[in-house]
Amino acid sequence: MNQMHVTVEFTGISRMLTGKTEIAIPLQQGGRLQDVVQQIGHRFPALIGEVINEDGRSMIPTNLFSINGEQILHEDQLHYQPKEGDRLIMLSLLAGG
Amino acid sequence: MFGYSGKILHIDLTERKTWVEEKPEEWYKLWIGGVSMATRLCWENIKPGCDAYSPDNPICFANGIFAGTPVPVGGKYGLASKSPMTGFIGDSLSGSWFSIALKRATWDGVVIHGASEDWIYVFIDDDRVEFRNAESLLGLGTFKTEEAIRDDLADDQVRSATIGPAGENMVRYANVTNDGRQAGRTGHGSVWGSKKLKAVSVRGTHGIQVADPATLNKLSFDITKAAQGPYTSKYRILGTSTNVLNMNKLGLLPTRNYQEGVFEDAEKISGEYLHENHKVKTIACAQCPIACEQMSMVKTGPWTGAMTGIEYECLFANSANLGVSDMNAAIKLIEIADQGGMDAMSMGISISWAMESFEKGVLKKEDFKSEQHPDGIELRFGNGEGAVAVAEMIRDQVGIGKMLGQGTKIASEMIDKERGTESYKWAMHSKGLEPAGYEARGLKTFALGSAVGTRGPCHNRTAAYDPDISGEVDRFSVDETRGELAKSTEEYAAVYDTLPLCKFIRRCFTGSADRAGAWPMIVNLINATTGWSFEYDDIDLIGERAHTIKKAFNIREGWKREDDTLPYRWMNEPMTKGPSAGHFSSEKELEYLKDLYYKAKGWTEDGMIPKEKLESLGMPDVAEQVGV
Repeated sequence: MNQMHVTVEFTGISRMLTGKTEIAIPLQQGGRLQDVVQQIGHRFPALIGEVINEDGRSMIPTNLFSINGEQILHEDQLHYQPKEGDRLIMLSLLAGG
Repeated sequence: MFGYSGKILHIDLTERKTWVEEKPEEWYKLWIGGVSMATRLCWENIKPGCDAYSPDNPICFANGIFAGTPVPVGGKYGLASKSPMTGFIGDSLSGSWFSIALKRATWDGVVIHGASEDWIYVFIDDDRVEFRNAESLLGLGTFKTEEAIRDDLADDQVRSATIGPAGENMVRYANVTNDGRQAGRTGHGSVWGSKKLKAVSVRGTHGIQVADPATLNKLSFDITKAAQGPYTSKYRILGTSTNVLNMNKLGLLPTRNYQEGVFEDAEKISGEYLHENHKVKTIACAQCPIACEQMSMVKTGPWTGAMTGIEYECLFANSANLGVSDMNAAIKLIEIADQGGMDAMSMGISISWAMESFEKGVLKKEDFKSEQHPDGIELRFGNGEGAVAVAEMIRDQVGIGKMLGQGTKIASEMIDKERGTESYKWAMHSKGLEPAGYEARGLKTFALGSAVGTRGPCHNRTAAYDPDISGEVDRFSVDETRGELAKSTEEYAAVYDTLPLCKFIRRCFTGSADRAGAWPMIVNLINATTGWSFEYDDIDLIGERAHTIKKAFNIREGWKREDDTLPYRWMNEPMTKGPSAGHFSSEKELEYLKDLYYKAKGWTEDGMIPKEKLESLGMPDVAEQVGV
């Protein structure tokens, strides 16, 4: 199968725990957001228990993905299939201030 | 009665007398505490139609049901008066030691009537009240006033709610401050200033009795433990300023007076940058295991040593929204607001209105003349130094600060009348209150929640951004679900504001922040504290009743459907940059959403409340006065 690349942007806690502002992730065509979560959990174990659940595949509900700053996907929507060049932004749920 | 004393303290500043009002337990079951009880006290004690600066406008404190107990984040109180910003209800919350001291002094609420001829502060020493001369406190900042009162009373356990120079000078959006926390947004500080009331100080020495201490301790322990986990790590480690980058990436960060939702230098004013470069320590309110306040300091340059707690709302208003990318300037501006006792949001947005007015030629360099700046100031976007100078002019009410201290609504009306201009088109307010740092043009449910807000557009009084941002709905479009969502989210917020509990705890009960996740635990906490037998549905009623009394207050003060609106810019100008580009909330769209919302609330098409609705909520006296 063809491989594509997406970019994962980190903000807030995820940026602190990874030490990165963004990384490129290879993904099989038809791969899902859940596969992205699994890859970054494997690469950055510090995210497990803080941003990613212990199963390594699902998100702790205070965290979300935004696709290119437009569409917002929560923990129940990790079946989304990213497209080549998508920027997947890991966000904390917004509140307060 | 457990959890309450059953007593409201009344203080008359004009006559310098006090009296005690006893309330029955059934009254507490309706109004609980916080903003709900404070608004109810305001309803009962105000002279309807009075000017906000009249002696007839009372200051109403209402303590929290959990203040002084082990319940985490329950050390909060509500404060209400008629707002000089909006002419409607001004309900605010603040937290920390003051509420605990008030509880230990055995007062569920305090109502302050009248006005003093001389500057005073009121000292509530358990059940004794003193009117003390405050001349020596005048000019002191909020924090220094608290310290000076402790010295004056020779007791470091006394807790005070104070106003700073901005309140003394009646900056319309002045705050009341206690323990470094602010009861902000609606201009309480200027109401206090109108009464020559510099502070309310409390010494409380009594214990607090709850119905079931063992259960309350167990529940509190479990919540506290959860509050140390991932549900609050964002708040504990970075604080709310982490919202800056989130908002920017979604095209929702108000930039240059809400002209756009994307700021090119967002990284430089982000919570992440603040954490790395300016954070000194984190601070918690009393009774809070989260500790979200990021105390931050300027370490280089002309403002070295400036230090205050930085929150997202204050930060956006004094950085991106001014086009300022210098975090030092932002910290200095927020310090001026906090120590001067001003609402940092309204201050920043008033300055951003002035910046846009300058860039459009409505205001000139010479309009910003002062003793320190005899040639005036070129107040363009990005001029942090100029913004600091103008903030000081607002606090001290000199030069153009006199106009900008009235807020954007009055300032734009003044200048447009004088110069024949149309600066109202970029005066960011609704009902007279400057909005939150959530660009509502890219959050359509929140746009509705902002328009119908009883104290004006506010991120704390509605959680309508939640369905937009969580992906529950398409944030760029509207549909028939939005009226119910706006109702549901504002009443959800009203529950937390009434108990009050800080909303940052909302996921720590079960992991889920929705009603099903939170209400059962809140039922248990209320029942263990009071011995009542509340059930799940009673929690929904707390929120609906709290919101309804605020709306009823506004109706009695003359509210009309057309008051539920948005700033001109949000209704007429789409943003041009970023992910939210092209979107705005047209008047037609807003009217459609308001129809949905009033229907969901069970109100008339005009937004009035039917008598039967008020009676069903236990408010027959309110029904008599404003029901239709």
